[in-house]
Amino acid sequence: MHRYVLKRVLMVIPIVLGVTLLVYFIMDLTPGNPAMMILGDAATQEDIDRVNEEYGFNKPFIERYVSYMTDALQGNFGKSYVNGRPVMVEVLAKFPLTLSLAFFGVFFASLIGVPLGIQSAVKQYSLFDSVSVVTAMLLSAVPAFWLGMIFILLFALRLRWLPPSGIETWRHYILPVATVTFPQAASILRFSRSTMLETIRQDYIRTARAKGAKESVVIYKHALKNALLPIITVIGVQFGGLLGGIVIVESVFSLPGMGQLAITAIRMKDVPQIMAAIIFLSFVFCLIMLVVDLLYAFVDPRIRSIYSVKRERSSHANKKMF
Amino acid sequence: MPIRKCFKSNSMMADVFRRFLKNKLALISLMILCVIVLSAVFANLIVPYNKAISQDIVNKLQPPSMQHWFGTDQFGRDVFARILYGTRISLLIGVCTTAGALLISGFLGSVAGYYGGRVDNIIMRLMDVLMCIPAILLAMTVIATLGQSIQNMIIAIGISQISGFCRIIRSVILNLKGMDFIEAAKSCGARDGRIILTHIIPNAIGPIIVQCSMNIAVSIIGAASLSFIGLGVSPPTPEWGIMLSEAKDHMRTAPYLSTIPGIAIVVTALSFNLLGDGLRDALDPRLKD
Repeated sequence: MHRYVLKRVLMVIPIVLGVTLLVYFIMDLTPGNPAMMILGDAATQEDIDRVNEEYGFNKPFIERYVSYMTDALQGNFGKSYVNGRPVMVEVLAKFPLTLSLAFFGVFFASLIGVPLGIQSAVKQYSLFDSVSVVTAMLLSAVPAFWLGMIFILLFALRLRWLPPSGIETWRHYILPVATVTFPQAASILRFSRSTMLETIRQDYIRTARAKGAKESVVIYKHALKNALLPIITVIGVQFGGLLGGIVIVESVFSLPGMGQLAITAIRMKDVPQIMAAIIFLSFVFCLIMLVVDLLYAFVDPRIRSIYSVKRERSSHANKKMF
Repeated sequence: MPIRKCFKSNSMMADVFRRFLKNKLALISLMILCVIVLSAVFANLIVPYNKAISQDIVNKLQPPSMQHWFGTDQFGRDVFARILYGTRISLLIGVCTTAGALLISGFLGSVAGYYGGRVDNIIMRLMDVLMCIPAILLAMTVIATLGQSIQNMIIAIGISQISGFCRIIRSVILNLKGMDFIEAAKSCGARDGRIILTHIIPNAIGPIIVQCSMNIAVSIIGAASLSFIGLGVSPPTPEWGIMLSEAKDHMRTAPYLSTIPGIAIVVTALSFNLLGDGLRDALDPRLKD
């Protein structure tokens, strides 16, 4: 078990390095002179040369990347081209809002999606099943930002129950969280349903029924326990993915989160700020995936046993896990 | 009686087609998609393009009427015309991103799946890296570098879809590789190229088509989202995301401006999703539910 944990934790390092290299490479292709971005159009050639020297813009790509990473590992992600402030400070200031939106969104989506999906599978082909499947299908085709607009239109402008934007009180969070929750709940519902349907058809469920176990025991003890594992993974993946997707929802409700930060930075061509935002979110995504994988290994005795019983390295097991 | 006549033989495609026709929902969505595609292709025969972009301030923010079916926007442009021409852009982006992502990930995924070993490892680790950057952020990064235009949006969304596609194609190929008929072809001395082209691709095409259909829906929503936050195509291009973004300022006075383009997106995306579902059930009835 320890070996698995260690191996999985170590795997994060090359992936994070890969992500930073990729983002650095893409951003490096941005046309325009970064020194001009910092100094403005009126800069003299001397000033440009000085800034190039100071920031190392005239060095080869690999050298610049290595020095960026060396600084980044010490927590220094550079300064904004626009306001000269350290970019990570901005990111850390905006991140809690985005994280809490994503967290509550996934939390409520799981509360709604998992039980409904499981009920749907247990009562396959019933009216309940059809209604939830159709609703989930419909919601999966709705862009989150449009759902947000419809919520504003309905609950803020027409019924005047809730405020349309801002973050002053808890009431301000209801619409954004609902906007994040419903599409997520739809996809969790669909996934829970199909996983549960698959599990119900397994041999061990037939065995449980054959030995005379009550239907509720079969469903909630034998089937649910096994079906929950892949569902947990999917919820984790969604939580990570949401950190990106929320950027759009934030813009509907004019919330000052990572989305606003990234969009403004892209408009201003503030390269260090864009990189810090994207690298940070991707890093958090990797961490969430790590936690999900470790949780999975901890809960699933099949994975645990591979590493605790068989000490030798089995290529089959490795393939399955990564 | 000759044996041949005792068994009614059907080609695989005929079976698939028959099963597909039985699925009412998929059939309806196929019909809706046909209407959408035809109206996009022949948009200029229905409404002149001029109506979608020329401003007419006198008639601004008119609610839907016989003259303007979907009303007019804040510049007096006909919303129906803008929706119609928006269909062109959305379909173009949906199809091009999917085709591009399919081409690249098809190559990478099949090489990884078929050859396995070190090549597989390298390709899949690269895909892991791509996968760790949330799709919309990756697309935003690419747009930030390339600038805003339809082509760049296609590239941006296409790149963000490669990793997911590649994984699916790899797993399809891996499954097929273990099949007896591939073993048989190998033992007959067929070369890799021949096995891939004549045995693997025809068998892998089903799940890939299904994935493509669903992917178009994702691309259309992604494109609208990018335009909505102002990083997609630029105004005054008639695009659904831009229309919604502009409608934000007029939600109180002209709610139809923020509902109609959204409905257009939902109907199109839903049709592609349902078509994909229908195709999957028709291609492999075992997969149903």
